[in-house]
Amino acid sequence: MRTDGQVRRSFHEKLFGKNKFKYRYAFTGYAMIAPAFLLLTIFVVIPLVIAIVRSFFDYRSYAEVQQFVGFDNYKLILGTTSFVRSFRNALLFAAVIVLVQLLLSFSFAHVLKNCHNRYGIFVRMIIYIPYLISGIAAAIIFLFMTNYGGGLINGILLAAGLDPIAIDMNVTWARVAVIVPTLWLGFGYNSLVMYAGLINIPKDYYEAATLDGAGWLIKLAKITLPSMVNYFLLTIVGLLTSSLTMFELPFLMTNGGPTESTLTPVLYLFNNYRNVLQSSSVTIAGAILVMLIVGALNAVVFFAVQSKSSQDD
Amino acid sequence: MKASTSKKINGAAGTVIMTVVLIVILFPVLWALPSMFKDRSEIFELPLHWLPHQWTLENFRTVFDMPDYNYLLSVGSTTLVAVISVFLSLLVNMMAAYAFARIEFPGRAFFWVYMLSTMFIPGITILLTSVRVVSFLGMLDTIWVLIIPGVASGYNIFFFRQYYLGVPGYMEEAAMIDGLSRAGIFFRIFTRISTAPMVIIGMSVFMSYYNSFLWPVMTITDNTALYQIMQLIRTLNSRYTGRYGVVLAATMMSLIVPFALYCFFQKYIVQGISIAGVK
Amino acid sequence: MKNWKKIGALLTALVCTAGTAAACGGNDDGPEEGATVVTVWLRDFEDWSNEVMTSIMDDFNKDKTDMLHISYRFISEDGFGDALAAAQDNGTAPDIYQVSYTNLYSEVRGNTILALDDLLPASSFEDLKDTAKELVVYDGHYYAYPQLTEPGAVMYYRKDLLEQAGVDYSDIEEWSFEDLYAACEKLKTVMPQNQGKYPMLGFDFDEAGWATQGLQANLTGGDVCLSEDWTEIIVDSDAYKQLAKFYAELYGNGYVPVTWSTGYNDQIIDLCDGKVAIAYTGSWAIAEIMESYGADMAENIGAATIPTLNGGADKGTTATNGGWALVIDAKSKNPEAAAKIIEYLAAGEDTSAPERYFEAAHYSKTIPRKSIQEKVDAKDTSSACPSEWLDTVGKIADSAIPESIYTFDINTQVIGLMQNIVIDVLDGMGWEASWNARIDGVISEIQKIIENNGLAGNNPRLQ
Repeated sequence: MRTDGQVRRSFHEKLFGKNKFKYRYAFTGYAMIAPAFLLLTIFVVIPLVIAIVRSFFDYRSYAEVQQFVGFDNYKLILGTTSFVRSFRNALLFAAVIVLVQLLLSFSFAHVLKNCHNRYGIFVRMIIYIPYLISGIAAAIIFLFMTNYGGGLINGILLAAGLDPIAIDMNVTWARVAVIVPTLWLGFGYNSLVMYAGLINIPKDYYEAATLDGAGWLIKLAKITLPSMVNYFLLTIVGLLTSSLTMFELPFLMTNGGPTESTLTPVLYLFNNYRNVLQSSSVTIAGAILVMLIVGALNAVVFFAVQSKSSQDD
Repeated sequence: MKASTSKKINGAAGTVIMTVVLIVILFPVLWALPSMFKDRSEIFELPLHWLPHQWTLENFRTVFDMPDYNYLLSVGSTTLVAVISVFLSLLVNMMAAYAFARIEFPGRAFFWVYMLSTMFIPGITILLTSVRVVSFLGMLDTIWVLIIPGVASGYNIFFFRQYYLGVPGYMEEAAMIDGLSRAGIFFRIFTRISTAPMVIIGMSVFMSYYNSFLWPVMTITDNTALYQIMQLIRTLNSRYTGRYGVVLAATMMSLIVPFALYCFFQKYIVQGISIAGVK
Repeated sequence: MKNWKKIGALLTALVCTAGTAAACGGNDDGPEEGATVVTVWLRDFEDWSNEVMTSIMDDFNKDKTDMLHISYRFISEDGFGDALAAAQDNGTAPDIYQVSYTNLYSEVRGNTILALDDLLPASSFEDLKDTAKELVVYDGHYYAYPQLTEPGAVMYYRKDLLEQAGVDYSDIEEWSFEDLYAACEKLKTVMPQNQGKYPMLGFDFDEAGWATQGLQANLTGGDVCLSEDWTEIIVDSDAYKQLAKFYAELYGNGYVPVTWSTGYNDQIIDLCDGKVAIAYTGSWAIAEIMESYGADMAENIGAATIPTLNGGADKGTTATNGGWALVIDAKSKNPEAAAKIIEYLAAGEDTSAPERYFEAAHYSKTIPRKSIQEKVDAKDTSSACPSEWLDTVGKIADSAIPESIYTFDINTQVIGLMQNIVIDVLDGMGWEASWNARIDGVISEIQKIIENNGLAGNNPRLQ
């Protein structure tokens, strides 16, 4: 009589041949990745495949036959002024947010680094708080401050005898009204990330540089920035992704207005999934374009960082 | 001498800057806070005043007494969804991460790339077709549609795998000599030693569920008990545009749960950011 | 190990609670054995509206002998379209759902709904008023049954505030744009901006795409944005320049706030709260006044036809008839049963259910059926709301046109033009200069929409 273990082992040998030792835990391995694999397949990969297939059809849920239209949906969506405009807006938002947020958080991280007392710890604890707040809640809070009739900002302007600001009737202010809450939400978190990067740089680097007579600019260029490349890259990509896929703040703050000056791609797609006269395939084609741009960007930076950190190891 | 003076000045300047930042960060919330207690006629009344002249609980009464929505139930079910999701997500993703970090099996590279690449797919791209899938599975308007689709995450698997790769191998060798199976090692040892990343990922999963808006809007349309809190706030915002105090009250109260959680885990999280590098 | 047990116990408890939470979401008291269940999806409207519809349908379900059962859902506007699209994809669409008249034609073109001619008795259709009938007929078929119509542009005003400002409103029904400007000028003194008050609220830009269609038709003499056969764009015309000028006057002179947080549908709230003295909104505001403010406030408020370019006693069209109709999904498994439910809710000989609805609405909705109108006319409705309001609203509704049915993006373009002109005016530019700079771009955008959607020559209302 062979024991269960022997049976399993011989089955293993048949299956994996000469790698039988290397693969001796293969079944455990499969079992452990199975839940994640199934969930990702069902809820990410299959929807993606359906979306890709649909983007090539003029999909109508109640039609007898779905008509294959090749790249027509992509042509249509790229010829849609609003969609193209939404991308331009998103690029503008992304540029401003990445630059300003990076600068602010990097600078503030230095302030944090030089403050080792309890107050510093307290500040580090507090600045994280906005990161807990959703775009929806933040929009409610900022809408309250920017209310035209009697919000804080216009209350002050009116008291000073100035004209009140209508955030949804002025292109510039509308964009500011979307960007400022975004910066507010992420500032603390990004500062903490930058702070983590700064304190991970060994102190002796700076001490050696000081002995060599290097000024702060040289230290910044030769030590700080190179040591923090990964932090920068990942922060930039995080900010880029979140600004390109911005939805909740423009949705509530300005609803994309005035005249689409704060319309973002995701907001456009959300508004047009059931544009009854047009097949949803056109919108899906737009959604796939978003993926090609945002996803590709992420993938490139991600693998760049990975290969760099493996070189470092 | 000179160095210490400049350090002092630096320190003073730093304190000033930090105080300014602190005010900027806290101001929006603090400004809005007392207005929850303002009557509709007072909320946008000019000239500005921070504290209400006439304190009232009317806004809260409206929030709690809505005939068709139950605010507390929404907060409860949102928290519940988030908590269940945190546990499931940690379990599923940590298991997969452990397998990818420690176990050799044929096709590992393929599965790794397959699962990792899902993290580059933006939610909006698959939003509509995901609704189709969950609708096909009969999950619409159930608690599962809120929980299950977001449990597995390519990024979280990646994150834990990175962490596990840094765990020295001798711990396992010792355990194996003690006769523990691979699964046993994972459950008894690896879950113990990864408290810090578990708190970080757990918190981020919790926040992404608690704050989710687009997905519940698409999938919970009728079951008001499962109306997620952000969805409810949005509904209130369009319904009570003329009574902003109601909207503010609902919004501010929704912040209590994440704030409380943050206070509890605060140490881990702020330290965790430096362990994690970037999440 | 203990930890894991604790967590396990906690999880179990949570899942159990979850089950309970999920279970108490339903609204059915259970269908009778063997009954046909008809699913109905309605929009989530005002509280009073949801309440009366719920009670109407619950009453239907109390009858356990008819072998019919309504399973209903109120779905918020945010998620309605997507929920419906997903359900239709999966073959789980509701049997009956609510469609706005604007979107009805799209449903017809998408083959997503059934023609009702053979499902409902002919008498139901004969009973419809002409203004309601034209909203639901395409290619000679009835595709929906009107539940209600509502004129989307009525001017409400605060008598006390107008009096304070010395504005004579005895001829308000006949006001022209100039009269309105003159009134606003006087109102500025009692409605100072630095107290957050304004003379009036006009057409909010988010909703103006449909809300101004009546005024557009008034200015053009009938058509809205496109010529009747949808071949020509009529936006580059004097009529639309007058609309632009109207907007420029209101905003440029500070008669209306530059922006306002209450949307067009709720502008009545700010009127009642005394933040403005005049407000444009739809007939539905009547219900809001009566429900939230009561008769005392109502006495103080007047309703009138909106001012037009030339004013006068007979203004013609000033509003669009918006509103909601019930349709049967093309893949409904029980179209006959669904038709029975539509009869109960809106179309049948027994009109008790729709009557209850209109009463709950304080008669703020225009009644689409002649027979119900007669019954209501015979009743004393003065307790529901001031009768002069109903007279005014009735008059506006009778001359109102149906909402446009071409792709709505065209309306968005036109209102976008108006909004851009206002933005330019606020920046100190003249409205004509702004018009000249922008009109060509708008025309070419509309041209593109006509081409992409194959609209030219295809107006179904002409066929």
